[in-house]
Order: sequence, then structure tokens, then C-alpha cells
Amino acid sequence: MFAAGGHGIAELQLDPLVGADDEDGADGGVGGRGAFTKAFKKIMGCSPRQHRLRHDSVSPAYSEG
Amino acid sequence: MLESLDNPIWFALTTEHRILARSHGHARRYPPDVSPLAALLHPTNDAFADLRRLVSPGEHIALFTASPLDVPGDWHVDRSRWIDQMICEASLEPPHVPPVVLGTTDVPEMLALTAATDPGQLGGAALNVCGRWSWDS
Repeated sequence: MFAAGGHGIAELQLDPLVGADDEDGADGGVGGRGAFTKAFKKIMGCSPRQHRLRHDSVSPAYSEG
Repeated sequence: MLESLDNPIWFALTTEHRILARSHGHARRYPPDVSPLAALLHPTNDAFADLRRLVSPGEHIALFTASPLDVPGDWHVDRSRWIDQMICEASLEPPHVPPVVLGTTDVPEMLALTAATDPGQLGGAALNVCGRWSWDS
């Protein structure tokens, strides 16, 4: 589900918020929507919006010294 | 409506969740003990500067935007990806049992449930966000 050597616990904690199965491809395209989305659609009767959102995990940089 | 879906965290923090919002200029965020979610009115350098005032050193926060971000140089992008946003246009039938009012004494059980089901990062203060109602199962 995640590449080895991931980015730390903070991101792993965020992933369930956005559906961990929805790992995107390099192009960020809408193809290959994951099992999370499909299951959500089946159970809740919801559909993915045509326009996807960009999820960025960011942190402020601080110079040392 | 579509505009609110393009910037859902901003919309939440300026409407129903505005009482929870930590704000500075064109940046909003949930308290750190509630959620790492944050938002910018528009993803400009000035807005990122506003957001910086709301984020502690070393803290990771999550942004949701309609298009890829051009992040200023004084920010790290730890991860970036496209996600689906689910919409439901049908009216859902409400449960047939009355809801139970939750209080602070229910927080340990709520946190135990989130630990068991892993819906995302939630602190004890998330009671204020996640609602005060539950249906017994």
C-alpha cells in the first residue's frame, strides 16, 4: 500500500482520512481508483467527484543556527 | 457548492467548524489536538506565510487543493498525491433508532474505537468535530 521507507507516522495517520487504497500514479490521473473508493461507493451509494483533490502533507522548513 | 468542494477544509473552518478554527490572515487550521487538517483561502505565498504562524516547528499538516500546489521554498512537501472526493446526491434514510448523546465521559471509548478502526488522526478534542451523537449497535 505504501512505498517502503515512507515518510513517517504523521503521514500514515493522515492516510486513512483520504483512503489509503487510493495511491495515485505518477500522473495523478483519475484512472485506477482504489478499492477504498469502490467500497465506499458500494456501501454508501456515493460516487467519486469528477475532479479529484490534491492532498499535500507539508511542514515548515527551519534553518539551523 | 462546487467552490466549497474545491476547498473543503476552508469551507468547514469558515462555516460549521469556525468555532474550532485557528486563523491567521488567509490561513485556517484545526487545533493540533483535533486534526492536522489546514486550508488556505488561495495558495499564495502570503497565505503560506499566514499558515506558518499557525504551525509548530516539525509539525506536519495536510492540505486539500483543487490543483497542484506551488509550495514556497520555506516549506517541505512530505507527500503529495491525488485523491477522490466522494459525493452523494441521493437522500439517505436515517437510522430507525434514536441517537445517543455523547459526552466527555465517552471520549475514552471513542478513542478506543478510533484505535480499533483507524479512521485517521484524532485527538481527545476531536469530540468537538466528530459530533456528539452515536447510534448504539
